[in-house]
Amino acid sequence: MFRRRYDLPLDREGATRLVPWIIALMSYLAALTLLAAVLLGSLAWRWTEGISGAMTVLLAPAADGAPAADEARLKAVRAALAAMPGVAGVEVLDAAEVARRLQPWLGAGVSADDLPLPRLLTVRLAADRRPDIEAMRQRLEQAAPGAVIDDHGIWRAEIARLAARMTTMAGLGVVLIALASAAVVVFAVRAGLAIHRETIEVLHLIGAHDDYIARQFQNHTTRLAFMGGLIALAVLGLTEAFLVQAILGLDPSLLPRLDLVLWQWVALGTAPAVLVFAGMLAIANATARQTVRRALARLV
Amino acid sequence: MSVGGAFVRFENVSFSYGDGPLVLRDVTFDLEPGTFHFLTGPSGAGKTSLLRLMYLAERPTGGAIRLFGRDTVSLSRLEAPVVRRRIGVVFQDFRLLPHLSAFDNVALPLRVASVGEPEIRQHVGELLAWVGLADAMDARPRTLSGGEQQRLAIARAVVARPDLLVADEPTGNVDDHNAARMMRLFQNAHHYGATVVVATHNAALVARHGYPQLHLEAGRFSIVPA
Repeated sequence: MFRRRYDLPLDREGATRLVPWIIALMSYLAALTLLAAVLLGSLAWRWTEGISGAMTVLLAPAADGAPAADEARLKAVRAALAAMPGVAGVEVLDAAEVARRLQPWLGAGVSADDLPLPRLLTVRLAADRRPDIEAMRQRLEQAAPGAVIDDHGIWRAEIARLAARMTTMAGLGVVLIALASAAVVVFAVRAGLAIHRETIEVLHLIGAHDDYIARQFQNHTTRLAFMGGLIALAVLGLTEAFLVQAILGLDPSLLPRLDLVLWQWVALGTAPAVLVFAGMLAIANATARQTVRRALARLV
Repeated sequence: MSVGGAFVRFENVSFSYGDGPLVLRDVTFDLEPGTFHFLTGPSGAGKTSLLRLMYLAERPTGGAIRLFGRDTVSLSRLEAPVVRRRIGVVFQDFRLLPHLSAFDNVALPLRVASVGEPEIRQHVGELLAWVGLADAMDARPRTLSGGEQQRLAIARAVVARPDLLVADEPTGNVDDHNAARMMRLFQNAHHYGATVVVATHNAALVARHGYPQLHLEAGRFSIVPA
């Protein structure tokens, strides 16, 4: 594939000297775009997965602020929920947990004594049966008027929509980068054809097929793309290491958890790079071939 | 000339470069296999154009050319190289590839024909010895003298044992000694069975060897028997 003996002195021309660097830049941008899309898609999936298996019931504090009344309402709600078909379990979040969840917004040291915080119940749903939300809402209204169900439907739809848009934009970006890379290859190959026109004529006249000549351009261009790809891989590796460092430094409560094992992390980091690397080689090879064959078809 | 062989046949061939004036008009002749011809005529008479038509560097403006029994005008891009491999060409300006060694220049016709490297090594070695360049295998063409470059070009033209060998003014820029040496190489190729056409305006050379002539003058063609 990368035979270095060329009948055409393609590896000595200055016209293609920048091609590996341009391909490297294009590959880097494409891989980074793909990586962002994959990461965002995974996070969105994990996020929606996490919230679609549960609901939150919010019970506002009683108007008179009497703790006994709150406890009675809580008990009634809990009993009503537990009796509903499709409910696998009900967990009442204690005040400390509520305060912990609000900590990024309200700061440390918040307690139910300082603010009239609502009581929160996490309702775990059965995997095999969805509850009737409307029936649940009526039951809760009877048990404790003012109880609110949040089935996270709005969040799920928003996240899914955002993820879909970002994936589409990433795909569009990668397609544009691929087209730009193909254009670079076309210009480089056309320059090579013009520079080596006489030698190409000699090759033709001694019996070389168009494919024989095209193959030389293909091999040379693929080799340039390979070099560019290697540069991109190296820079991408550094970028990923930097990103991992940056993510590890963030407060974990601000990010949804991505519970992946090591090989999955490695796959997540390398798959876009490998995909782009192979894609660039294919683009360089196919574009060079087509460009040469079209140009040669105009000759005798 | 005989019409029977049709090894190389020009039928009412005319030719012009683009929209320019006709360089060749109504050229008709046959070459039988294994013959040797000079192509003569003054400079600008159309010798190079006729040879370019013969080795498929150009298509005729009018008429038909048949090589080895095949109509060349209708050859496809896949078929043309196969026919070209049966033709050895010594270009007027040699057209050696300057970045390749003498060995690789001579090996080129075999490589484009996908001949195996062991066979290439053997044939090219023999050919370079035949033209007296056995010691210059690794030399780049620009380091060789004019006569050596000419012989290298001849070696490249005959390495694939062509059925038709054409040479465009091969003796034009060399002294009499080298010209005689080159003619011996062409005669050797002829003895091996190649049909040879040598373009020249060297009247002494033509007179010395006495082969029949394809003569061009102002685009008009005639045949001068031996």
